[in-house]
Amino acid sequence: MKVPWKWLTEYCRSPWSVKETAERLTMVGVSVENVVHDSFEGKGLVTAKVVSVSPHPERPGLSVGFVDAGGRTYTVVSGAPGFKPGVVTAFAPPGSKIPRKGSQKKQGPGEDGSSRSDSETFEVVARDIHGVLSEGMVLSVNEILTGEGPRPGEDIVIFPEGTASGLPLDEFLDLDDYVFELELTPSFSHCLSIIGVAMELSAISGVPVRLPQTLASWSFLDPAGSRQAEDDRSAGAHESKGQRGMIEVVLEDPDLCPYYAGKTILDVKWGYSPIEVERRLYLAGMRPINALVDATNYAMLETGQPLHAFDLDKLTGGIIQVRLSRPGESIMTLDGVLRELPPESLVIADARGPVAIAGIMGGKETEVSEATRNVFLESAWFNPKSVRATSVRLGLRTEAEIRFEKGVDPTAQVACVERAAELITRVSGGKPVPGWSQARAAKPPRRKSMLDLGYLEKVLGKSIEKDRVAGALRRLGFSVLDKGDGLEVSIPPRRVDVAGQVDLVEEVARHLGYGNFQGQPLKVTVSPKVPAGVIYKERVRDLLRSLGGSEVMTNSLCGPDDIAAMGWEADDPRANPVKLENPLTSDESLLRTSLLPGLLKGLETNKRYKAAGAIIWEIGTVFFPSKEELPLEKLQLAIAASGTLAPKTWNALPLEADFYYMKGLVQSLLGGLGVEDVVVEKRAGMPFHPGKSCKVLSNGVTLGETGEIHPVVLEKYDLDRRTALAWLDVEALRAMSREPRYQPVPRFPRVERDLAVIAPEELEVGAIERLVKREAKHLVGFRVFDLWKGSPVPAGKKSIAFSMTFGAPDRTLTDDEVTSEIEMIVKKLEQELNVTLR
Amino acid sequence: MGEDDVALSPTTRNLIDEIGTIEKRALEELEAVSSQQELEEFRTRYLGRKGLLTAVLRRLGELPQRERPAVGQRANALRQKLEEEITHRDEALRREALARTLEREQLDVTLPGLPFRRGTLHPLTLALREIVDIFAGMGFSVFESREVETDEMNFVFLNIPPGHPARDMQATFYVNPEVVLRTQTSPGQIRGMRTYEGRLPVRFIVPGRVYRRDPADVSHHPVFHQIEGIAVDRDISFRNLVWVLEEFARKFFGPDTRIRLRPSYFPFTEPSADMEVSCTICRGKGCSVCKYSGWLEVAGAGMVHPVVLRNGGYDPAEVTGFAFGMGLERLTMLKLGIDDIRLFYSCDTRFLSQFA
Ligand SMILES: [Zn+2]
Repeated sequence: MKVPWKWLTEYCRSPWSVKETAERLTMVGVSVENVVHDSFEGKGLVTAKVVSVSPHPERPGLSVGFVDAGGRTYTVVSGAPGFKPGVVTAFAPPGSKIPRKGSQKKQGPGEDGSSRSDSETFEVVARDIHGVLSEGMVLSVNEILTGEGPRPGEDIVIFPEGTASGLPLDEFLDLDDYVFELELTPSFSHCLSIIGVAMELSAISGVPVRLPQTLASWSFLDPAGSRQAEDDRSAGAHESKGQRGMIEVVLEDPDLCPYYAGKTILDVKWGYSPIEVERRLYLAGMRPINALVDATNYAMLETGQPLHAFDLDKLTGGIIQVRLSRPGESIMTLDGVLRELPPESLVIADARGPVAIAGIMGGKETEVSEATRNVFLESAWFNPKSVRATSVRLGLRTEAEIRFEKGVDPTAQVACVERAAELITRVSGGKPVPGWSQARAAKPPRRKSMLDLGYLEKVLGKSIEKDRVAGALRRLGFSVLDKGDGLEVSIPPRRVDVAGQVDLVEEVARHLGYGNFQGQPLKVTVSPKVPAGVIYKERVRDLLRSLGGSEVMTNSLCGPDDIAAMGWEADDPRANPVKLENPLTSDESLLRTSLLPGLLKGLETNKRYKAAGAIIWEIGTVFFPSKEELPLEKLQLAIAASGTLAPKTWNALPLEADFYYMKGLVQSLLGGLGVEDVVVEKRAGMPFHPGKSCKVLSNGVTLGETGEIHPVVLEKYDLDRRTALAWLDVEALRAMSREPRYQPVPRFPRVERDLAVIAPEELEVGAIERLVKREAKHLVGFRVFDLWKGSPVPAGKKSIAFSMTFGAPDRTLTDDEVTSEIEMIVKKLEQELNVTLR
Repeated sequence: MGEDDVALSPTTRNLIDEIGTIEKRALEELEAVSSQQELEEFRTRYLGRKGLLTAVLRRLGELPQRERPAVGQRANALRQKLEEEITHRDEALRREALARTLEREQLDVTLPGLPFRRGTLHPLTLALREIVDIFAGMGFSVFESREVETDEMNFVFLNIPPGHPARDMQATFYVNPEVVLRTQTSPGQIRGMRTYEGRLPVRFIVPGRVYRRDPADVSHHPVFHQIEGIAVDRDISFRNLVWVLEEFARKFFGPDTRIRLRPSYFPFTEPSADMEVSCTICRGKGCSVCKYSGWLEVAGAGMVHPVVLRNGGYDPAEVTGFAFGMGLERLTMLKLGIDDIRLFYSCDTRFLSQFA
């Protein structure tokens, strides 16, 4: 909603500056997002009197005249019908500048907080028109405001008789203005009108609202009074039935349209609106069309009641039906689009069919045009939900629709249509037919609510005197009766957002100003609880930080390509993600089933920035379809590393992202988390390299997988060949984590013994370790410190050297004890694994 | 020499002279000793079993009985003196040797140390931890709630029935007509409240991811984080809300931070407010970040709507409550001066490594 300052202050004079007014409105909830200073950019345009006119010597239809621009006379060529002696018009002498509206651009806010609206201009020069030098141009409204030529049938501006020549046009027309750009919440739909905002301004400032005479009878300030006026009018309607131009109105669906009023104006003259009206429409963000349509838009901006003008003579059958669309019906709307009407759309129909989509847009066939002589103005109340539903189905939003879907004042129809009729007759002439073509299925309910001051105090935390509460509500347009134990508040019909007591509390609070409520500490002390799962998650994070790598957060949404790249089997749950019904893009159409695709993209990002390598990790939710109403959400942890993680330095070998790096990282993590009895099983699924990956288990439960990336997956990404990944199920980890328990620190010395053995090449070191652990009674440590294949080790064999630590909790082991254990180990290694001492 | 000497036998006198000679020579030699080894040789030469001074002592037997003690004393005094001198010399030599070693053992300290890898936590994790701590200090527990929600939880229970215009305020991702990606952490209010099963006081925050169908730009991302907070008790007021928000703002943005509440609209709170803090960039003077207003919007808040209390299992005639919701990304951006929300989701380690 855009509110031009001068229009606003016409209804309520502000005691404050533009900026302060905007701030004060914002602080009561009428949020002014932006204040735009819209000054007229034209330069040197003046009023000028046409002194004499004669036909152009060469061109019939053109005239040559002398205009007096206040002291200087110019020769001007024009074809405008109004270019006649004695007329005072707008004149652009050579060297003057006319703004081009289409080029308008808004600049950011300046130091005073208001934006400035600038447009380019073009300079007027003297030019030869078929042999006559025209020194400047006489102007139409469209030329002044948009820089474009006159519209069809548009004449030059004709100012009232007696207007002096040579007056600067911007000053004479008072074109400089400010515009408040409002960002209104749904609860402020009553401010979707200039008068609505004026009433809020009046409530804060105490300056009364002044309304045009026609609207003064729409006494929304007093709900009871307005009902009275309404009833009087309804009575008068019957008398005018049968007069020329009256139409029978039939409400087929009273729930969706309980009230419809039409106003007929006969014998109007076609034309454009005066410059003040067009300028205001522009400032308010609407485009002027013609005087008839402009009047309905002007009245809508003013009052918030959308109106529509039909060409009365194009309505067939003398009847208006407000009904649901019928199967197969369509309508060509004003914007020239042929629209199929969705079923159950509320339409306005004449005897032949739909002539408007109720509350959204009128039809092309019945629109007012240059040929229009008689006008039928529609002013109705449509059900907000119905209008909104139709709008959503059609994908069509209009200024009218925005107002109807929020709910308009159900008592405003007659006053507002009268206002539009007044504006029309002022510009286009015509004779309004007394009374209205109307139908009413139900009277708008009188709405009241009690306000208990004890409740108000409890919610706001502050006792406020009854008089102040009542005063605040009255200022805002409520009427208030003191009922002793509370206030009985009548709600003005236009305040569709207010229904009950809690709404009134808010009205009082915002009127007094939220700044008047000082903070008050919470009385009760509560000891906060953090769920064990949250604490565990943070512990995982701390451990991962200590192990290196950067925590990342990636999008929870992914696309089919991300899933396909992983190479999962079709029946893998991870290949069957939860799909969004209305994604923005295909890339973000699925809920992730794994963190790995996001991390792989993250690695790519770092490679693009020429990082030699990166380790990134994430803890986040993954999603799977489930038989329940809601998908399954699981907490996952994933780590991805690629390239050279630490480059070679003068004193250290480079650290590369390979299987053993990632396995070590996972092992350290599991150790830190107290996950016991961790075993690995060779060969993880996709996207891991089958020979360079493993599953990680504890007590038979799979915790996750780790390893290098599968070459087929690697191909899909721009990544270093050395890329290693791991994922772990955080809930499974947590289930397997043991709280640390104290064990006595060993008091007796330990013995370390090394063995060097030759083993079959394919034998896993893990087999040796398992055997050693099984056979040695007092083993407390096992560490492989050398591994060698190739000369001098025979082909098909490898050499392994490992160190074993022995110890007992209660004594020092004797040499003999250790030696006999080792002898047993050596024997079993040879017997069972074909491993011999070197 | 005293009077007594006159009476000494010539042998004794000789021996005494010899001791004097030994002393003089020894001290001269000791002066020239320049290594531990030479010092050891010196010791052996004079004090060893076959040393010069030892030899003198052996000859004591040749002297008259009564003259022996005097000579013995002299010899022993010299022995003691030499031992002390040797000790001093030894210490000096060690000092010199150490000095030479230290002089030799010089490293190029400008070469880098071993490349330890320091891990980093995400700036949003760091900020959230701080926020959780601040609210814990005011008695708020943590409650985590699901990300995919029923339409009912995300909207209806929060006083946003189907067709409500407030649904337009949030572009929603749908999984199906009844299931949405939560557009706000507010459904956590209902789920969290229900876990209290009517007990009072209720006081918790709900941090987590939320989803909006908005294309990404510098200030929007389809996935972002919110922190919801709610307190319900017999006499919770709007002024308690003001206090909690003030406390939060001062602890998170600094003690000089001021806050301002202005009327707003959320279907699940009434009265509702937008919370603004004095601009963290210009301290309220006006700059381009705060659009020259001096204020930055950081949260939505208000008194819990009676409908929501009822849906959480509480009787609005008995209890009142307040709730608030804030954007984690926005808070973090304002605090750290980050100008593009997409950086949080970029995985760019050049960005992530700045926050420790
Ligand atoms: Zn600022």
